[in-house]
Formats: sequence, C-alpha cells, structure tokens
Amino acid sequence: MKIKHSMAERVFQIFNYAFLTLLMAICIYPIWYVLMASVSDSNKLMAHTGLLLKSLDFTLSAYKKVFENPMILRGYGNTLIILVVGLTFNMIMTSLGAYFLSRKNVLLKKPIMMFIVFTMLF
Amino acid sequence: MKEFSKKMWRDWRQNRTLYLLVLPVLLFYVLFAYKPMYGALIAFKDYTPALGFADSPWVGFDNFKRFFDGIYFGRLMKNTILLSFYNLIFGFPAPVILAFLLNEVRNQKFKRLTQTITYLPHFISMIVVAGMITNFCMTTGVINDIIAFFWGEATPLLQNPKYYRTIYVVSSIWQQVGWGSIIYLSALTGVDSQLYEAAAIDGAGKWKQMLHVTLPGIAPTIVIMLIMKIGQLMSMGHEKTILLYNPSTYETADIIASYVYRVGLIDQDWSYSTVIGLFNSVINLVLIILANRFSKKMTEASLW
Repeated sequence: MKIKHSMAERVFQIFNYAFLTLLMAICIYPIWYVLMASVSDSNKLMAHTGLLLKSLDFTLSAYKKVFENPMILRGYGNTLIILVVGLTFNMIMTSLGAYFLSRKNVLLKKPIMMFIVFTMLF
Repeated sequence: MKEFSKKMWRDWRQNRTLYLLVLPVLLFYVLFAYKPMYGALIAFKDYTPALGFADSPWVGFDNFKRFFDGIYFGRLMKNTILLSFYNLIFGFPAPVILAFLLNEVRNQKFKRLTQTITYLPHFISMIVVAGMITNFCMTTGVINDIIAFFWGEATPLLQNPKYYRTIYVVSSIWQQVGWGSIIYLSALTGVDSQLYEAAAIDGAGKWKQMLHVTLPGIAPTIVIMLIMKIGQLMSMGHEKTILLYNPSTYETADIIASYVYRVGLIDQDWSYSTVIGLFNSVINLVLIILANRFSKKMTEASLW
C-alpha cells in the first residue's frame, strides 16, 4: 500500500533532513578540524583564522614527533595494562555482585545493597 | 530474638555459596570504598602533614563554619545549581528530540549516517574537546567568524563570564546528544507500529501521533533516565570546568568540584577541601534518596 503524504508532512520531512544535515556538519567539523590541523604546517596554522577545510602545507612532521617520543608509547602501554587488569577485575566483581543481588529469598540482600549504594556518594 | 537467629541459620544453610560468592565484592568495598572514608575525618581536624593524621588537633566544626561563612559559598552554590539545572533542562530533552527526528527519517542510509556521525563527539577525550572549544571560541575562531558575519563584532568568548554557561551547556549537548539518543531510539523500535496505523486511520496527524502514541510508548524510559540524571545533579565533574575556566570567568564558572580542586590540591588546604567534598556528598545523598522515592512511586523501579 502506498501512503500519500500530505503537504505538511512533506514540509516537515524537508526541515527534518535539513536540520539533521546541519547537525551532522556541526558534529563532524571539529573532528575534521583536528584531523586537518594535525597534518598542517604549525606556523601556518597559528596564523590561520576561520574555517579550516583542507590542510595547510601537508606535512606529517607532527606525527613523526609523536612517534619518536618514548613517553607516548609508555603512556599507551600503561593505559593498556590498566585497561586489561581493571576490566578483568571489574567484570569479575560486578558479575559476582550482580548475581548475588539478583537472587531472591536472600535475607541479607537489602543490607548488602545499602552497603554498596552508600559508597556511590563519595 | 530466637526466632530471628533461627531464620538467620536457615538462610545461611540455604544460601551459603551465594554469600561466599559475594564475599570478595564486600571485601573490595571495604578496602577501596570504606577504608578511605576514614580519611574524611580530617574535615574535623586542622590537618598538617608534619603532624600526621592522628596527631593533628581536633577543631570540631570550625572548617565547616569557615566554608559556610566564606565569601565564595553563595557563588559556588549558585554556579553549581544553575549549571547543572541548565544542563538538565536543555541537555535532557535534546537526545529525546533527536531520537524523534531520526525516527521520522525514511531513508535508512541517511538515518544510519546521521547516527554514526552524531556519535563521534562522544569518543573524543575531554582534554581534546576542551582544546577544540578554546580554539573555536578565540577571537579568530570559527564561532567568532559566524558572530562577526551576522552581528559584526568578534569577542573572546571564553573570557566573558556572561557566555560561560552557554558554552558549557551547548558543548555538553554536542558531546552527548547522539550517544544519548541510542537508548530512546531502541525504546522507539519497541512501540507497536499497529498503534500508528490505528491512529492514522482515526485521523491523527504526525503531531498527534507523536503526542498520543510515541510519547506514551517511551515514557517509562524517559522517566528512568530523568531520575538517574537527577540523582547525579550535583556531582558535576571538575574536569571540564578546570579545563575551560580562567580567573576572569570564575564568577560564573567556579563550581564546588573545581573549588575543591583549587583549595585542596593547589592551596593544599586539605581539611577545608574535605569539608566541601563532604558537603557535596550530603547533597547528593539527599538527591538520590528523593529521586529513588520518586521513582518508586512513578515506575515501581527503585535502587533499594
């Protein structure tokens, strides 16, 4: 069955598409800006004003600097360790706790729930 | 009493393994949540590291008095409440509206593209976001270009306390609107399409359909999300504020969390900063209890 769309419906659709397109532009521009700034010549970037739509004097020197810095690599290593260990620990703890709290007919369920919720405030 | 111990004994025999399972969790909470709380005692002491924790002299409520009578108390309260209030009334409906609009899009490709792109800001770290905001708000930035185009005068936006709240709230919406709409979109797919057909046959237009079919359909989700938001109303993170404010905008930008950071970690007045932190915790406690009670009444879903 083909539904016939009224005039108001079509106007709404046009506005809807226009608004969402604008929203997309707003969401993607800052990311595009960072991307283009990262491959631009730093002096030119400092002097630049307004919209930045393409790179100024394409160069990868900023990336080279980042990868030559040992601290960045170490930072990522630490992030990874914290992520893996923390996530494992976190998953074990939360599933144990959630399993306990999901059981019915446990006498101390409510006090233990309070015990845990209380810490969320600090 | 005897009755109770009998009940306890029966419960223990029945749920022994369960209690064994939860024991590590409790241990975790004691070690990492309850033990550090003991440190909050320095709120009642004149703490100096030289004297150590135990030997610092007790001063009772002096630190509290200093905070409540201090010149910044009113400003901090006002800023924290206003900022989180604006964040709630503008930031909360935004993802709901976006979900509604996305739901009306018939072109699936366009819908997916919009969704993917609006999620992007969520994945950028706060530091980078703050860097972008600072960059765009400079006199030479994009936002000022637009202002200059329409109204003719560029101003350093982040230096003006008048604009701080707007920048904070708008950028928060920008960060979270796409990501926040996911949950509402999934709730929207749960609304029976027969209801829309029935409403259309009864002569309901788009607006009426939204009002009488869509909105009631996802109301439970909205209420639960709202309650969760209210519960954390006062616990505004210090991160974004510290990255965005500067002395010229303290007037509107300084919130409790950022003040705690300044007093505690920069001025090293630990007792005082603990007092402020405690005060914030108490407000949060009240808010969570209220939100929970409200939620129990409205949806029968509650934390405890």
